[in-house]
Amino acid sequence: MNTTLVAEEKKKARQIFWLSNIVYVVFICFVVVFGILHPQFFSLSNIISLLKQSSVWMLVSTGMALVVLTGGMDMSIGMNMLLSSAIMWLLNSMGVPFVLSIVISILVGMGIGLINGLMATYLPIYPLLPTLATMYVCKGIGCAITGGGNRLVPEQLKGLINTNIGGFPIHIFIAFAVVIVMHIFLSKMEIGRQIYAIGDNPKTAKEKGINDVKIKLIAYIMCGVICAFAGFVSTAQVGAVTLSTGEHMELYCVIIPVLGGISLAGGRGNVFPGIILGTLIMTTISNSLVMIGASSNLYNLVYGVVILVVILIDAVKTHLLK
Amino acid sequence: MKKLWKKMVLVLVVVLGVSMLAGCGNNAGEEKQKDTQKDTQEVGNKGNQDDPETEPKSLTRLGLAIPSTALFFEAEANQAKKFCDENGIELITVIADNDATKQHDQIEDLISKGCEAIVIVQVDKDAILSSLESCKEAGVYTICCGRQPADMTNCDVFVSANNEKMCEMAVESMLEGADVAGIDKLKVVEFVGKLSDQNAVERDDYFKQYAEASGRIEIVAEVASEWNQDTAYSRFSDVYNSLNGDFNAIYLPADSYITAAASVLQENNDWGSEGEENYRIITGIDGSSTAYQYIMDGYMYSTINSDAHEFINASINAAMSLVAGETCDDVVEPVLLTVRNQEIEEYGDKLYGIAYMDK
Repeated sequence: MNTTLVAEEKKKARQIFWLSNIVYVVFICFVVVFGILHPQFFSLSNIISLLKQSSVWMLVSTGMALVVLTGGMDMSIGMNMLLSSAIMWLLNSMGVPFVLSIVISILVGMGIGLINGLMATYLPIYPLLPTLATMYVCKGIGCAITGGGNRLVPEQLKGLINTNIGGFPIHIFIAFAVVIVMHIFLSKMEIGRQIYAIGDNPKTAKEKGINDVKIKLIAYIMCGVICAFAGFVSTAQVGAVTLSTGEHMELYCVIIPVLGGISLAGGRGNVFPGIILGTLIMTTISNSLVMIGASSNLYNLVYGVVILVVILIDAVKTHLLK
Repeated sequence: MKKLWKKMVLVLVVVLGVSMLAGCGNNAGEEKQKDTQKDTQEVGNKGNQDDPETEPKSLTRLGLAIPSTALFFEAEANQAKKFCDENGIELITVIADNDATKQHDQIEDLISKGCEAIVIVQVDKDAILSSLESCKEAGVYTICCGRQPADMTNCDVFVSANNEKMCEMAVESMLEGADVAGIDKLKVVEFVGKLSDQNAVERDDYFKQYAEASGRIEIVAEVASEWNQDTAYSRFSDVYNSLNGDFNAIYLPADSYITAAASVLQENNDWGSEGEENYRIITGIDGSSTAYQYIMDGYMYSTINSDAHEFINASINAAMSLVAGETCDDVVEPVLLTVRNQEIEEYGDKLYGIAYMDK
């Protein structure tokens, strides 16, 4: 009887292992084959381009991962980027010193995170809905500030974010650093471990004396700050704050943590290397589609299939773990 | 208790009675308005529903349904407000956030609010048809501004943006820019908008058509921007790498993408103004303030100006004519203009985008 149980456990462990890693195996195979077919894919300029495109997704997905790990969800991340950047642009155009406008905008991002955290904690509904409301509020204010046009970002911001170190823009290093710091925070610090505990089993965590309100607030606030910063990176790259700043970011940045092995049910998964791998998968898909000259419709189809597969894998994995 | 019930029933009956009367009144009003519309269309100046024999009816309440707060539509909304304020017309503006269903509901709302005419910049050419039908049934005039519905039956006036003409002008302007720069063949990177958007599709199709017909333009790559700046930036980065920067012209179906294009070229130290080695012929569509700035700085060659103010002026004028029972052309075409440095100097403030440059 025991032997059967052990055998079943082993089989289950194998299944979970494969479900956790199948995406990476497919990804590596794809990269190798595609690289052979299109040697330009492995060129230094293309790798730098891939990493440049990854940094914003990496940052925002890290913020989202913090929230997802608590068992929550933040749909306002993209519009947080828009609003923070719009406020930065507005203050700057009003003559407020650059550094002060950055600090105030980061505080705005923090405020949005705080509001989301309070609603996610105290309202008896899944956080998706209240953060959707925040999303629309941020979008409304952001659009009102920018007035619909391209609002050119200050040259200082462009210069700062696009500073090169060894041929790589500094925002790539910042994005990687944020992922690693968050990984250390989550795995080594008490508050980080409590984030996992709340996401895994809120009832037990509470019984163990973990202050769930405080922990959730910290996660949402950190997410808000990271998103505000990601907004600066995004607008510095494009060169302007526009109506499409942060648009659809919430969709991509829900998928990236899942691609990286972080469970949407909360409490499980690692930010490092999960977020980095998840982001690279998404940018590589886009990059390779551009290289083969795919039509616009194919992008949506491929993204849709990837999202569907990843969600199915996550659902099966969660089921097996239960 | 019985007395209380009796009182409640009495109140209910009175309320119902009043509501029915009011409802009849409204219906009668609508019917009358429908009849009036019929009359005005058929006979001419018999527009006033209160007294058909006296003065022609004037437009008092106008609806404006726009797809988003993008600068072009913002310019239209601002101009509409200015125009209506000057002419004593109450304006109700609704913004659909690029959601066709939301726009449908908003137009229903404008009808129920008693708008006599609605200027519509539709999100989707097919989805708008049911709204146009509702307007027709309610006796509300519709002016489709800039975007043509799939079926014109229920649209009273179409103020045409004429994407075909714009693309033809864009191709001509690019070729002119090539001649000025001494380039024979143009290798063009074409930005493409969201292919569920009518303007994006037309500006893609017609550009390809005229580019091919020119015999001097080769489209070497497309950037599927999804009408999103971040996406445009990312995909143009990829395109730049895959081509190793080997192209000498860029076509933008909306001027706003110039910042994303400029960022990528700047990052690759491949961004030059007129006369410099890495100068490229860049032509856009819309006539936005951002484009004017880049043209003035010598980085962009031209933009095809479809004047937001002219579009809205033509639309409201059409609405006023229809309500007054005057005849009006089914299709109105505001003038398009290729704007280069010399046009900016020549026309100055008359170009709508100039007003938004200080932002």
